Amino acid sequence: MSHKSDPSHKLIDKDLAALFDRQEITVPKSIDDIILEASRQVQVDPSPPVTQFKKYSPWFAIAAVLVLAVTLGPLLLKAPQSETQELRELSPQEIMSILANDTGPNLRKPAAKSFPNSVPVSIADTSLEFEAVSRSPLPSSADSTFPSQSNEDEFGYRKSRGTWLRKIQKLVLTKQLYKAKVEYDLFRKIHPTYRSGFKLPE
Amino acid sequence: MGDYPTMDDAQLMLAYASGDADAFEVLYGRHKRALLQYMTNSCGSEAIASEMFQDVWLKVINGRDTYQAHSPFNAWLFRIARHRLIDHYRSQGRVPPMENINDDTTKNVLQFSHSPLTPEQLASINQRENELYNALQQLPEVQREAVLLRHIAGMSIAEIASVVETGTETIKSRLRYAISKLRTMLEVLS
Repeated sequence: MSHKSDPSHKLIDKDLAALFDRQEITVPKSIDDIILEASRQVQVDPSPPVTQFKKYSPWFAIAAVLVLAVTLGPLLLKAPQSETQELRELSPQEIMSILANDTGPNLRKPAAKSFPNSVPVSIADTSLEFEAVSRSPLPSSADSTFPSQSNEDEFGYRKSRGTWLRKIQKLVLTKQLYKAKVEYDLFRKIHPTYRSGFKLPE
Repeated sequence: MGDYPTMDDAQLMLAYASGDADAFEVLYGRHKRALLQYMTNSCGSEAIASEMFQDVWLKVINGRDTYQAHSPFNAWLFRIARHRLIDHYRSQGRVPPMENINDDTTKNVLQFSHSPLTPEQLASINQRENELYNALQQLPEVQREAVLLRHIAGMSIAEIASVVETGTETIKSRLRYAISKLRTMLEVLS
């Protein structure tokens, strides 16, 4: 630097050194403590604390998946098929086949043995209708009174459990108790596990 | 545990980064006064300087793993301090006087609101030092910054250039202008 050869520059350099030397600058002890404590703290705890849960969280996750798979897997396999799947698999003809093969013999029996006695007085006047229906031939796949391809629309309410139950309810309200009973028994054959608040009047 | 008195700054910093907390205490003891003095003379307020002083050391602590041994610790420390000062100026809504400034202008002279020296201290120093101190405050910031780093931090031209992130010739020029102005001001005063 050119000013180094200038005596006045050297004098000013010397004065500056003296000036800064005489400045009474001291770091407060409280600041020393804060900084030194911080410097030690990061050495003791260099990273955010890892909780026990975080430490073992991958194992918890794996265990939880296994427990859920073991407990829910069988339940899902046994779970009833969805309504749409059932309806896709069960045509009206198949429903009638179930009715003819499984429930037919029971329904062929005169229902009077168990049913008429339980009919409330209020609906006892429907006994004639009941007798007539109970003695009539049971529906079968060949029976023209039951669903076939030609009258499929007539039994369209069976495509949905909700509409089917409403239909049964309507039958009860209109005092067609035997039809309601037949429909409800059929409903229960096809949807044995379906839960609803609806119950046939005893 | 190392033999701290014989260790240079870089060795101490590396020792601290590898887990030796005592190494930091030695390093801190070596540089704390110069750093606080530099910041106090730069911003003109002991309270603000103390706050920024803590921030700088906390950045050193948190950035211990980023320190590179080939860079002088002194330059690294004062570069952090300078950036902290620039942040301070910006937070005050002022254009950092250290940036984009013509060395020869006097428009960006930082006006001190508070003197870093108490009246008693000022009275205790001789007349010439008092005049020198006042003259120093009238320097453009970039020139004063160079003077402070030169005389307080004891840095070489190359180290100052590294801290200020400019060329060595620029630093030489700033120091030359600063000394010339100080001489002129002292002559006028006397």
